[in-house]
Amino acid sequence: MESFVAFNTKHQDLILDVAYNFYGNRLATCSADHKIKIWDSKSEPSSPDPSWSLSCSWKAHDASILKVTWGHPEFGQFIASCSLDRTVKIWEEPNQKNSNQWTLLQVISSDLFYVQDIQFTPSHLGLKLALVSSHGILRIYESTNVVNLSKWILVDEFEIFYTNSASSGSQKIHCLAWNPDRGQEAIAVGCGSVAKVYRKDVVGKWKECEVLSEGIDGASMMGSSGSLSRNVGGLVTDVAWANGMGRSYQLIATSNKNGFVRIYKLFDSSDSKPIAQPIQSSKTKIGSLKRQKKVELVAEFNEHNSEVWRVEWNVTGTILSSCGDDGSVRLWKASYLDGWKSMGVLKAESPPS
Amino acid sequence: MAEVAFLGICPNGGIDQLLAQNRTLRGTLSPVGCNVTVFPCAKNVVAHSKYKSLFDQDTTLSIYQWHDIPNVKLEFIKETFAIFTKLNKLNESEIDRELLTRTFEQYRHQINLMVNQTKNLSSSTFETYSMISSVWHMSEILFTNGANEPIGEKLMEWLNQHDAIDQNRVQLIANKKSERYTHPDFWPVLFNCTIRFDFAHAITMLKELPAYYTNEPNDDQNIPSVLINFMETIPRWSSFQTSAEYQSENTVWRERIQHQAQKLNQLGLDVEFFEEYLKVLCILYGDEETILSTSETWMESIAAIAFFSRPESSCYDIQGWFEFVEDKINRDSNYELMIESLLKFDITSALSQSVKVDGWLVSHLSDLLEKVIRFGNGMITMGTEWTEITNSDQKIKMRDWFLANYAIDLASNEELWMIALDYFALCGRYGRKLMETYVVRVPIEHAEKAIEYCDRMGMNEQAKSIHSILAHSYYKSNNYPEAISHYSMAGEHKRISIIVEKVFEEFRSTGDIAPVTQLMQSLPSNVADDKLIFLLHYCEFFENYQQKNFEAAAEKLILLITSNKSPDQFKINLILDALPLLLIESFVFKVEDTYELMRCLEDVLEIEEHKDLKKFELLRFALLKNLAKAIALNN
Repeated sequence: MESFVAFNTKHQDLILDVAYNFYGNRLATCSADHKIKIWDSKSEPSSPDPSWSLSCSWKAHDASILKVTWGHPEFGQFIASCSLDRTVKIWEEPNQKNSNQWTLLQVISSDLFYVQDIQFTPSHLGLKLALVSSHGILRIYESTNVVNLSKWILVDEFEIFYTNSASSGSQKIHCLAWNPDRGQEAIAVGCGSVAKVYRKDVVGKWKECEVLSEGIDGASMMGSSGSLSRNVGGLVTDVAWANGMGRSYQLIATSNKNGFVRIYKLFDSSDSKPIAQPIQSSKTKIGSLKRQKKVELVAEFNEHNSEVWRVEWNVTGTILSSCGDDGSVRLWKASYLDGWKSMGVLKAESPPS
Repeated sequence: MAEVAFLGICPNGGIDQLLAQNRTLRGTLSPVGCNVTVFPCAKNVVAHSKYKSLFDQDTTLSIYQWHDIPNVKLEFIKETFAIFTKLNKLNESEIDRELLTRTFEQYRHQINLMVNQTKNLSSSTFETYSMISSVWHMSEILFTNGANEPIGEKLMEWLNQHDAIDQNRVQLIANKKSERYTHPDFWPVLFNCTIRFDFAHAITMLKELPAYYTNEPNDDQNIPSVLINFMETIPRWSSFQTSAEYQSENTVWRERIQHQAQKLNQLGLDVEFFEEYLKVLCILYGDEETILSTSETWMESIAAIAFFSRPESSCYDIQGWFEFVEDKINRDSNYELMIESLLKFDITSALSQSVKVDGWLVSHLSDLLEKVIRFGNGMITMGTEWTEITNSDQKIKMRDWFLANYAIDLASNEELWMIALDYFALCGRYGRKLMETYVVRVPIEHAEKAIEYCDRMGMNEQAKSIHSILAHSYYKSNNYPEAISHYSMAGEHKRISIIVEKVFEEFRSTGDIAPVTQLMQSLPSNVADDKLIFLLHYCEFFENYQQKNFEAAAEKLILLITSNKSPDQFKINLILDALPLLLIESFVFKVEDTYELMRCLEDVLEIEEHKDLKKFELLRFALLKNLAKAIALNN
């Protein structure tokens, strides 16, 4: 049985991101009106219609706020936000009720570029925040005191090398996703027409390990019939890493401007291929290791038939949502025998009369 | 979930206009619930300022829940959970055919209660539960019936319960005031009642015929009376002790029908409704061609063949009859495909179809069927291969998969999360992983229960995580004893140190010992932290002083000063604490103690900012006086 509830957030401009907290009973919305709003679920037990009440609303930035993300409740009630004003801010809920804004803990400024994506680490890795900027620098900040979150220091920084397809234009899109599972610290980053997985080696340096790509990087390919192949304009717009749930492999999903949603499987294999040449960065010298895991494309959907901008896993890694310019949100579900099927489509338009 | 759901948040003009206004659609999944929050979003945020029109939809969040548990279903879920748990917690030796049959019945009772409760609700809910009731009943018949037991009567009972004759048609004829037999639907309904073993209605209708009431009952012309007699004397398998007795009686009965049919043929077309009477006789005789041509549904055909034509058939014989009815099956109907699969003992297919209908059905049916196969003493001999199928990587059994997915839908409900966890606990390794994932996301109001659950199930990491969350919450509300208690349970000793440091600093700045003593009193015994130990001893010193136990206080103070655990910044406090003890009349500091105090004072005076403090002059004087006194006493 389905149900549907809508409410007006009273933002004064478009909502640009929405994030649920750990329990799914609080929402953070951020908007082009420079404000962040926090909402609390007020549902009675077993109520079919959870209602949301505004807990706090404040002007958080000086420009459109692109993303908002919650931290783990083990460290408190706090969020991070990134904006076109070229700052990332970390906010904490104040102790006193009815406060008119959350406490600003830290401002991380970027000089010329704005941050496109932010995400806190899973709690077993401590309290860190990764952010990737529009010019391809990934930074990781860590709180010096996990009980008092007022000080954050830069602990890692490296450049993401953008793999671009010819016709993508000047727009560069970066996105990131932490590996949520215990084990090796790893982060997936969308950079151009591929996604890359970076892992920390034994000495604590970040190394590019796996590349998630369905075809030749950076090339536009014309098929024999003259039609564009799926690699053209295939910028990765979002990346999402699923919870492992005891699987022997990991799943990473990407969304692409060329309309594809892809699910990759990363697994251990004895026949890893080395990457041909080391990659040098002006900021941090990083080299490429032999790929530690084998990558296999296990599912590919193009039902959006238009640019796809977001992918997200549910907490068990069994449902994937994707959002695209066809005005729909699509849900994909893992079936028993490892296949993936469409679970349903939410369309923006009204039902046909 | 419906295949396509329309949210109606697009401005007039549809998707094209959405895109033309630099919009796209975004969705965010709730981490726990079965819902997604959808909102229009700027496609190109940097260029957004060029598009200044704002629509109502732009600032609206639409939360779509694809699986909702209505209140009416809660009791059903809880009751069936109780049945499930009772079955799954038994030892293998306690599970037998009788128990499984009883379990099937118990579940069916709950399902039928749901059917009654949903009668006045939406038609789709009622239909779903009616379908579940039908599928469950069929499963019960097939999988609790003995391998060689005749199935006809039970199938007929199922048919009349779940695929009942259209009462409107029956009523239409009953409503006709006179000469009901002239209604065009009279004979089709009579045939239908006969095929369905609804002899009560059939007999009532036969008595409407002129031949019945214009002739004497024993008259050869009174064919309706003859048919009524056949209907009233049909041998029923369940009425006989032995198969031999039934066969004997059935043979005689069928011979009588055959004889009557021959007599009717001789009378020929002179008899009004000759063909109709013959058809009824053929149905009663079990003529398959007549049954197949007269049945209105394929399920009727199967039940009627099992009842009339082949009354000694077992459930395993049915699949051979499908060649007669294949073309009548509606391949677009999940329900019909489920029934077909069950009758063919294609359990894999039956479960695949039931997934599309309801999560409760597929999960509990697969659980029960798996047990029937394992413990039912040969109740099922076919369709057992599905229990061996596991998915390629995690080797999850099908039964575990279905149950776990059912429980996932329960996990977000405030009343059902514990039930969900208990289901996970009975779903093997996969269920265990789900349990570990979900238990930490139980709402904070239920954290204590969640911790108890973790302790019971041996989920140490998850318990620690919940303790950490609670600890932080207490810390933020300045309830440090509780915070430390929970951090201790979480093994987070560094965070305990941070809190202790904070309390310590507060004490240093305010001089108020009360928070410190309160903290000390409520500390768990296993907390070991240098600062904490220091504070513990300091509290003891303070207590001794307040109780005028000055010798003990002095001893404790010297211990604090000489131990390694005294933080440097606290030495000034310690040395100043010595002053009142030096000024009292009784003598509490020995020579060695005094020298220690002097050394401590020197250390404190090393710090530049302390050099000018006048209080140290008094202290220095008191120390010298005490030293002199101590030396004199020694001598």
